[in-house]
Amino acid sequence: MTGIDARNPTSNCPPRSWPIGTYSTRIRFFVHPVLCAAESQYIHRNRLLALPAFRLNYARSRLASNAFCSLRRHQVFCLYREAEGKTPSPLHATMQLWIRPLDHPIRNLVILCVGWKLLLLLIAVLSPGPGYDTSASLYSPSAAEDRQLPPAIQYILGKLVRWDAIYFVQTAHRGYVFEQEWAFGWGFSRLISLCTAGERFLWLQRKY
Amino acid sequence: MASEKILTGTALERAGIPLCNGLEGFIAILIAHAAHLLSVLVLFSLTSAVLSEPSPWLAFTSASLHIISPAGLFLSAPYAESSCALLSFVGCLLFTKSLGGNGPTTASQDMLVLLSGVSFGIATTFRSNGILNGLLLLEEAFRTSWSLKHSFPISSLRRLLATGLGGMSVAVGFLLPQYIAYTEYCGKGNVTTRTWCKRTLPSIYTFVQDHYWYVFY
Repeated sequence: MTGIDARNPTSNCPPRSWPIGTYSTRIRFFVHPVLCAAESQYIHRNRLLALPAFRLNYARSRLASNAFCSLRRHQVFCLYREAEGKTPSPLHATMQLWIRPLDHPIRNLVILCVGWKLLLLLIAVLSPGPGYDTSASLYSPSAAEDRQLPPAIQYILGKLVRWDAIYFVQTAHRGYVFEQEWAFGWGFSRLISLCTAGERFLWLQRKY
Repeated sequence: MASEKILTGTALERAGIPLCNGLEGFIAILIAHAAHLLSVLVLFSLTSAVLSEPSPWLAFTSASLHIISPAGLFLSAPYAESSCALLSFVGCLLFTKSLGGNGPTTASQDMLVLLSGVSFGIATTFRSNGILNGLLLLEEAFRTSWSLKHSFPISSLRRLLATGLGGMSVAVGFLLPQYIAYTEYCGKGNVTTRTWCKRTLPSIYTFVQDHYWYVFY
């Protein structure tokens, strides 16, 4: 760990051998805003993040040789460089997501989205019982078709295919029959049909 | 018999995925999830594109907020909301890209405005309130017409044509499903005629909302 030295502030600055400007995505953060005036433009361009002081030891263990950290009030500011060509650990990637989301906005958005969707699915799956709405029971797979989806997927379907979703799935399966079904997006049900039923998706309607 | 089975087999079956019971629900959930993810990414580009001064932070924030949208599970379940959002965002993005600066627009930009209309039109088949996206094109058409007040440059006329065609795509997205329903229920073959068939505007959407859900337009 270099640079935690209150008596000699300039030691908190990164060495001159790191040219400024080439780190826009490489360097995650942050020098002491006062002590390293040369870096100030860098700080403005990238958001400053303060690590709580109690994480100093953690930062020390993680960042070690390639980091420059400084202690300011109760916070640690670090400038560090990741080892070239080394894939970051999941923990590291998660930290980065919170600390510097703009380094890889698309990747981070995908991670956030997938994580959020999994959380929602988990809540839906863990919700006990049929819920206040029993419409999901209407979506009972007929025994006519012999092949069944795996039980786990059937369980998730039971949690999600309810209310309006039953209309969408039903019209995708057998076409529009009853008037009120037309209130439910024709395009969406045709798209599902297209995915499941190939060529008989568009106009042909299997009426029961 | 066997060959007939192969002929009538679906695309999925031919791809090696058996047609299972309840597959529609599963596919619909996949579509909803994928559409939500893509709409987040498109919203990110859209926010970046509409801002005159690039602000990645604002773009990222808006996209993140769309992830934790209050719609919640509605964007996971087999509902048309997420796909409609995706198509609307795509349309808006294309529309934004189609706007030139102050000078006349190029042919490819006019193509983009037409494509944005097509995207809005498909969004409208998913959810009929997607038709409100057409207001963008309407405003663009009015603006272009207004610029024709003094002179008739070919680029403005082309722009007007592209915008008009785009607007018609939105209208088709709204009317096509209703037309199909009309031929279905009000066609000559039907013995019993429904009351809404004889209305001035025989819209099944209006009738169904009114009759089954007591929502009056």
